[in-house]
Amino acid sequence: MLFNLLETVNKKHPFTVLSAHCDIPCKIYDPITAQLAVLTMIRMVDLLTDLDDKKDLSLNDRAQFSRLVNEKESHGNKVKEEIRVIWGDYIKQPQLDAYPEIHELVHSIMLGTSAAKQHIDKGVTLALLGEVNRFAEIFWATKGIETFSAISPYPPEQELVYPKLNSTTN
Amino acid sequence: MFGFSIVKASGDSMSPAVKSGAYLLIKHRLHYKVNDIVHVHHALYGHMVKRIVSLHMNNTYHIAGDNAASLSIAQMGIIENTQILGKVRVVINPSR
Repeated sequence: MLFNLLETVNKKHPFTVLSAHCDIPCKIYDPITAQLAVLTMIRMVDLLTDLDDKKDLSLNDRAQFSRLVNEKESHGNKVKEEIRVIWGDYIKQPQLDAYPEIHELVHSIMLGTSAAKQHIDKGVTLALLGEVNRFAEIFWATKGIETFSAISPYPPEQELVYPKLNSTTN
Repeated sequence: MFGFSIVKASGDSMSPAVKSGAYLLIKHRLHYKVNDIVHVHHALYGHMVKRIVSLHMNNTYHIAGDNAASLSIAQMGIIENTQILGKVRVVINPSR
């Protein structure tokens, strides 16, 4: 009864609304950030390998080594963060029913990213890219958007999964 | 009126204590304690209703939703006493 009375008052003189929402419902999700972060990790491994080929490292080379490792590390964290957000916030029961592999895939991406951070190993980062691309493929499929694979037009020139989006211009 | 205000809650992060659509009677206080459900004005997230989960020596707080899917304690950060506009004294949940 009291609730109904307050409802009537609220219709004429709305009360301040306090948010008790579970999260900010921005609905902006795109796996491309994670994909680009893996590409960056691969690129860092390539540049680190170039340094390894040098006989003696100058002071600048050593500074560069430090920067490259740091970038590889931070982009690994970005991969994990981006995948976790899509998995935790966007993926719900209907997507899990359609793609039951998602949980295992995400867990594997977490482990693969840790391995890619721990080592300077191109094979490990390429395997990680394969898994993140598969995640992107599933993500776009859940939205009913087809995908295609193409080589990124910049180093390290690896295959990425892209969504086939309709152009807004003629 | 008498330091009280009435507000309406939207969302389920405090359910079942505060259901979406509930009316809340808020009373301003000088100090709050752990487990109080409070009206917070957050710089990033605006006006929200959350529960105090920890109180610190310098009169700052950490807040959280009752549900696991709520914004995390870390996301909401440290809350100053001045950001807490009152304690929820009465909850009038929708009957359905």
